[in-house]
Amino acid sequence: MNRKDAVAALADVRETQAKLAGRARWPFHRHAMFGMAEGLIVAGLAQPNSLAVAMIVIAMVLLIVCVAADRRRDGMFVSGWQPGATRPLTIGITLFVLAMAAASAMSRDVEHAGVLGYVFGALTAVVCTGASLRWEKIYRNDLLGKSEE
Amino acid sequence: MIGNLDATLHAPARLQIAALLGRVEEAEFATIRDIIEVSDSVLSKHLSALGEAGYVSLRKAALDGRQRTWASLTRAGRKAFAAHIATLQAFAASVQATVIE
Repeated sequence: MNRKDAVAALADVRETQAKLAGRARWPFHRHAMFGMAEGLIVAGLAQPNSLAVAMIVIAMVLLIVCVAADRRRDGMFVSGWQPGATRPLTIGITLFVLAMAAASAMSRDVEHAGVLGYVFGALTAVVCTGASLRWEKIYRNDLLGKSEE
Repeated sequence: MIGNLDATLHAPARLQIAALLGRVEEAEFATIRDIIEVSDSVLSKHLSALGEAGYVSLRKAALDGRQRTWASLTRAGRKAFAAHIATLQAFAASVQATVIE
């Protein structure tokens, strides 16, 4: 290999990732389903046992449907935990959900625990949906070699 | 000589496959073919070579009632791709240095 070949090979890699960026668009309902699943888990932790189990099972089903729909629609699956510029946001989302889950679980013994759980769950759903939309943008910009403003 | 170029990733199509799979968890054969813009037989040959090198993992799974091939980059593949890119960048940087001089 000579230097010219190396430059051409790197250009090919950039072009491939730019083509992937062109396909890396997920519909709003996909982000909302992810947010709703996270919100259901958080809200469920403050509910009576049988309801909590039902909500967590529904959340798991939603996440499985998300992944299956991604594969069917896009012919690929992009994990939130993949390396790159999205990693800090993924860690941030995880820490936020864990904090909300802990707050929801700890509220089980207080008065109006169920309502409080739904408040935590709704907040989680909104934040996770927004974070997922942001994640998509960062992922695309990373593939295109653009830095975030 | 700058670093070590990986002979398996030297072919442009294989490097492009690794560049794609390095940024997704898993991709279906037709999706890879459309992005890389190669024929089915060429892609099949390159995926087999990458699989034999332990860089790509292949599995068959049904999608819409049909058997499809899904490919993902293994840990060894990610490591080899990163090393190969670092070597290419070193070459490219030396080009820039030459131009500046």
